[in-house]
Amino acid sequence: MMRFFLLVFGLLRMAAASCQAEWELHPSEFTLQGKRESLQLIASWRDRDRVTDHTRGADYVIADPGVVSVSRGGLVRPLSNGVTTIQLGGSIATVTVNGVESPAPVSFHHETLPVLSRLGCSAGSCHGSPHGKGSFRLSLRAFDPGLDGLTLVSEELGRRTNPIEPDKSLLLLKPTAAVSHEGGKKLDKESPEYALLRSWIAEGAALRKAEEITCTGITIYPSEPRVLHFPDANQQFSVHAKFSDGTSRDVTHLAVFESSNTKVAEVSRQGFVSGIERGGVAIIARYLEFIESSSLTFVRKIDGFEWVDRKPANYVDKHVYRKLRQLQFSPSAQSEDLEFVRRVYLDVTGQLPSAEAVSLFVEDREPRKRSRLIDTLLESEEHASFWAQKWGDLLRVSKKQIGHASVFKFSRWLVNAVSSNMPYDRFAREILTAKGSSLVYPAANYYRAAGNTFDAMETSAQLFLGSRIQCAKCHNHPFERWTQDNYYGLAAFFNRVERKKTGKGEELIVYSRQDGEVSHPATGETMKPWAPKAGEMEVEKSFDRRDVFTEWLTGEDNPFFAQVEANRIWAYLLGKGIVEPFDDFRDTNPPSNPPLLNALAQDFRKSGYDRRHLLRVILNSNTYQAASKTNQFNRDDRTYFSHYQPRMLTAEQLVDALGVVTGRPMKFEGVPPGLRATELPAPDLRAHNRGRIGEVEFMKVFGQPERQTICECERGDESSLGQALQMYNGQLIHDMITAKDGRLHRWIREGMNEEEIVRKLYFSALCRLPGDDELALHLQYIRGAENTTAALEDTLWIVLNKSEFLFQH
Amino acid sequence: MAPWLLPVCLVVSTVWPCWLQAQHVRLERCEPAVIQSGVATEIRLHGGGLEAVSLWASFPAEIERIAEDEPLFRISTDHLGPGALRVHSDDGVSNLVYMRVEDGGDAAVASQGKTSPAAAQEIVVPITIEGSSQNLGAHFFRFGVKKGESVILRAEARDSDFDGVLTLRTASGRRIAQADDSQIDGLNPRIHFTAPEEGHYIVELMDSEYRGGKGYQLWIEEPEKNDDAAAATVASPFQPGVVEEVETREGVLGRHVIGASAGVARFPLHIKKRVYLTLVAAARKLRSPALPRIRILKESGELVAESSREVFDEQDMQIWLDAGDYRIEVRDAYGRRGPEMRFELTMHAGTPPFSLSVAGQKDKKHPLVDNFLAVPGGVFVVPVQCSRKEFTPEVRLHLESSLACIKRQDRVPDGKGSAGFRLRLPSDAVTGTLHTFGVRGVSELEGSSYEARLETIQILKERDENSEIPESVNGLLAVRVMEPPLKVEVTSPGEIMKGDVVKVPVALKWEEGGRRFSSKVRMVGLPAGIESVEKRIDDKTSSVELELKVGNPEQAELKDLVVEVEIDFHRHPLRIESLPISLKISDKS
Repeated sequence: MMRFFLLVFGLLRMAAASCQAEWELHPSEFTLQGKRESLQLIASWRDRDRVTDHTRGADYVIADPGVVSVSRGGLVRPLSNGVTTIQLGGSIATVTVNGVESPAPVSFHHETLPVLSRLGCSAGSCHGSPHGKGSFRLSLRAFDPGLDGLTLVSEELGRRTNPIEPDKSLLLLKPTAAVSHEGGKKLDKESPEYALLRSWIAEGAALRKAEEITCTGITIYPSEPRVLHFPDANQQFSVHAKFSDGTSRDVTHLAVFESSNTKVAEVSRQGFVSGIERGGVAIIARYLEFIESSSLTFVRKIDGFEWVDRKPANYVDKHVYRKLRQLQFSPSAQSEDLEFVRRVYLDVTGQLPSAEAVSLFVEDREPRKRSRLIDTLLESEEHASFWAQKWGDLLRVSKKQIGHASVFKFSRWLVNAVSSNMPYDRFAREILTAKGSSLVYPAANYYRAAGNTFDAMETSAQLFLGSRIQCAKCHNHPFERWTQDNYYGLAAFFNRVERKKTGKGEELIVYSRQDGEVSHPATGETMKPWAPKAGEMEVEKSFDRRDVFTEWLTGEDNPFFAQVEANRIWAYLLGKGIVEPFDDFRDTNPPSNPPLLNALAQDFRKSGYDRRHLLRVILNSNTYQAASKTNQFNRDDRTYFSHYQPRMLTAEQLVDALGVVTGRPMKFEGVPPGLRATELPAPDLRAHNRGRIGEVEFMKVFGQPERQTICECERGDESSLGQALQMYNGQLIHDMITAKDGRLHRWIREGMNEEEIVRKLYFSALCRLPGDDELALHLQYIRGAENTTAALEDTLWIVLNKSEFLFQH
Repeated sequence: MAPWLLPVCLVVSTVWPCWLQAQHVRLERCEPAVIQSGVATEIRLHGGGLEAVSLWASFPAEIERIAEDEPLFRISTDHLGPGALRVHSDDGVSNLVYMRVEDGGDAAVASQGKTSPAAAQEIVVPITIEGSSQNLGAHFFRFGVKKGESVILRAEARDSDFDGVLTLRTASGRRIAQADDSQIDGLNPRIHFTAPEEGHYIVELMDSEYRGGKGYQLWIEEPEKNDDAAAATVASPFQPGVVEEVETREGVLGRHVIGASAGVARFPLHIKKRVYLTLVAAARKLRSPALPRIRILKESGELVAESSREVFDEQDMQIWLDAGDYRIEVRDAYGRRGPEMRFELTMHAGTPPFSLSVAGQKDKKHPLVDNFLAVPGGVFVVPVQCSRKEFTPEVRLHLESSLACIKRQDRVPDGKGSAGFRLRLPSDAVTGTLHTFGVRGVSELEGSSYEARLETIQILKERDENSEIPESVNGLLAVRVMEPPLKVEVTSPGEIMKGDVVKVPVALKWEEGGRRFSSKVRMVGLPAGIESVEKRIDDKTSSVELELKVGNPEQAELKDLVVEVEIDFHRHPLRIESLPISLKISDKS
């Protein structure tokens, strides 16, 4: 009986679903004003959860063909005044046409400049560069219309725009390649862009009038994320602009489209997206200074792929698996104990585990042993030092930036912050609102490295908002929503920070004045403090504006704060951010798994910004504990975390690992003997010595940053010839291998046999014993050598030069 | 190997020690910097050129070198308080470094070598410990407490710029807490610890930058006791709004705070007679964050003078003030106010209208001119700086020494700010010995006599600003008697004609196999009318010709002319003179 009801219920659901399948036309109602306007229709077939774009090639039925025409691409053009409908299946769009008989003059601001932007003329690589090209300089992406008007109409003796003979205007002759143009042919004489530019010139090349309406924003369609399945992996986009008089226009033909990842999908000038490969992509549309984006996911059916359900360890796995399943990637198996223990030690403490620790862990039969090990490591001093070092990189803790004494104080402060698991919002607050002596309050050194208003603002935005806002100092950000107004508004929070040397060593007093304003460089206007989403803020004179900024930053209204740190922690553990680069959050750089990032951020916020909690969640996930070995169905994945991605040890990790394996740790100047590289407070503690000029610094070769910028990218992670040479022939490696007081020579002196030595070397360096083949090969070499000691040194050299040693996997 | 390389290597290896190893004798620190009176203590010196040095102390002490190849000494003294050390050898004389001798009564002294948790020094709380920091390391102490017992751990610099970092660990080495700077004690660390379990705990104390030889004091005490101390501090001299009337005299006027309501501390000042006044407002020595700024106003409120607008934690100003009533005001440079804005105001009045010192040199890589080298019977020059306070007369210089030196030039001329006090060692001075001496200046004006000793305390403080410099070394200069490294031979031209330019050959006979130095060669004792230009020669040049431009001198014969070779001896000048020569001067006609 029960079975019968279930069957009926299933059939009813299927019938309901098939009834839901329908055509959808967007927009359903629209008005075209004048002959130059057009409308991009979007035709979608919506079948249950799946939406397919059929804009191109759909059979549109026009009720009154005398009013409008519709192209194969869904472009509606006005023919005469009137009202008509366009039908596709059961979906109808109503179009009203007005003003065909008296078209409005071309708007310089809303049409001419967007066309120049669309053609790429005002791009940074063309005439939009600071010095222009061929004596023709436009503002970057039409940021300064006034100056562009002057340039087009008045400069070059007016040859660029010739209203008497429009076709002889350089603005048309050059891009059509009728006269020599270094940029090549950019415009067809038959194109609508040509017609528009020609009309504008013929109408007298009029510039913007004071009373002209202004654009207040744009919308993109489709705006909600869509999943597209190959072979129907196409999508037409449209862009509508809203104006100050309440009207709306289709500006698809004037907007600029970009794809965030052209390996996944390309977008045409008309806004038509063609999928290329599996993956996610953001499509960005820009019109004037407005930017909107929409995300698409492309899915391809993979032969033989079958999703096998796995039990998620926590919500991380749920989101990762959902994405993998959608994109048809199969997650790798769980890592072996030996692989896991080496990885988790290196990630959490920066250190190789000791042979004893590895053996104990492997022999432990307790099912929760991984979780217990994670807890132990997160409480260790090594963890605090290693993770404080990561923040040392970002906060520019170096002698050159903040001075010798401050390096020790600030790095110790960071270590204590990690060690005490200082909540992240408090951590940010202590740094951003630091005041007083840089020696007594080490966080005040933040304002020594960020030595002026703009540096402090840019640094704060990049560290805590994940926004590289620098571009907006001179012009509206080309890839982001940031405008120049936003830049100076944000700077107003930091403008009153003062720094005063006391004359006592390198001590600096940081304090906040009660006056001082930021002026907009272009308008001279005094800028009020401004924050994203919160807008302009009124701050009482007696308040430190940084307090207000930090209150907003760490508040619930700001989604970026938690996301940026969650993403940073994720990137440190998984080798790649969900947003990558992990300090570059923008529309054109969308997260690879937005629900995962949101879930992490939400959990982080709910936990009271407990970083150790977030680390624990990620480390305990199957995603983190997956093997680095790929399978047939995830070999190509570099983005969705279907397997652990091996990555090279950082310079400091490598030096410490070499010290552990050889028993000859590297010594550093100015710090106690035995201090590890992963504990170094700064990279530049070595006193200047002319005798050392030209000497190769091992850690620099392996990417140790100078800490001169806040960008994580300063830490090099690329392999190089120099690294290979250091590992093959470098002085450090040679000294470590041949050291008479090193482990190898001690074992030889103690009479340990060759086989045992080879086993011990493998176990300490790679956390595994050599395979039979490997062991046989080594023993054959050692026993056949005239000098056994030298042969054993060679063996150690071989182990140290294995990728398996140099990489974290 | 190429056959010619062997002899070259042999020569290099033979010569290496004598001319590459020898370097300027320089002291950086002494470890430990705190020793106990009456207890023979091993000390290690750090610096450069310390291979074969002898140790000199500013206080009576038994000193023994206990290692040939290391600068390790054993020192025993009954002296108490601060002291200074200097070393000297055939390579010169070092600067001073400072140490403190404690009586070991109330405070324990940190043991040396307790530089790992395993070797931690056993202590019983409550305790006060004095010591000096371990270079590139930490000192460890181990104490036991019962469950639930609380202790406060804090550390402060003692006569040094020690910037402590305290770490508290369990007996197994796990870190419980670390303190670098505290909100209460400024740069000083403080940990309030309640033992979760009965047992032993380990305290690790180090300098923030891992510097060694910095004197410190560590307290581990019960919280109540400390709270009492804190209360006493609040009730002690730091009273908001303190107003005292003071006569012009020397001394500490008191410790005060910049009141929370007024934001200024005011002091009425009555001057009976025109006087030269030095006012100092110091904050850092009280561990106060205040940055004082001083103003002197007339009673009417008219501003007379104000201290530099620079932001310093110690402000001083010097000024002549006429008789009358004034008001001194002290504010914080940033307008801060409240109980923590403490400062100490001191005033010196009626000091001599001139003072004598030697030139300062803040860079510790360069020697300070408070020590000199001279050969037996040879000359050395003390470059005396004379700071005048609207006082112009000539200042005569006197030597205070047990050595019977001969003064050659002994005055700072009228209105001049410096002069070389030229002295000659007795010819029987024993080489290898170090002698201390002082300099006194005397001058007269309008029937009054003024006198001032040459002082070095200011320049010593500039170099070691946080050290406690013993008063006994203020103005104490030193000269080491050196073996002459060369002989200077001059061939006298015999007779010279007025208007001629004559060349005088000079030969430098360096000691065989010894290190050579670049030098300046000059003729000394020439009368007006004859000029000779000093010549500089490098260490490879052994002969030089000095030119004498003979004008129209009054003398017909010159006796006791000498050629002086000033050697740049490890950055110290060492003067060697030739035997005197005579010249006859005749007219061309």
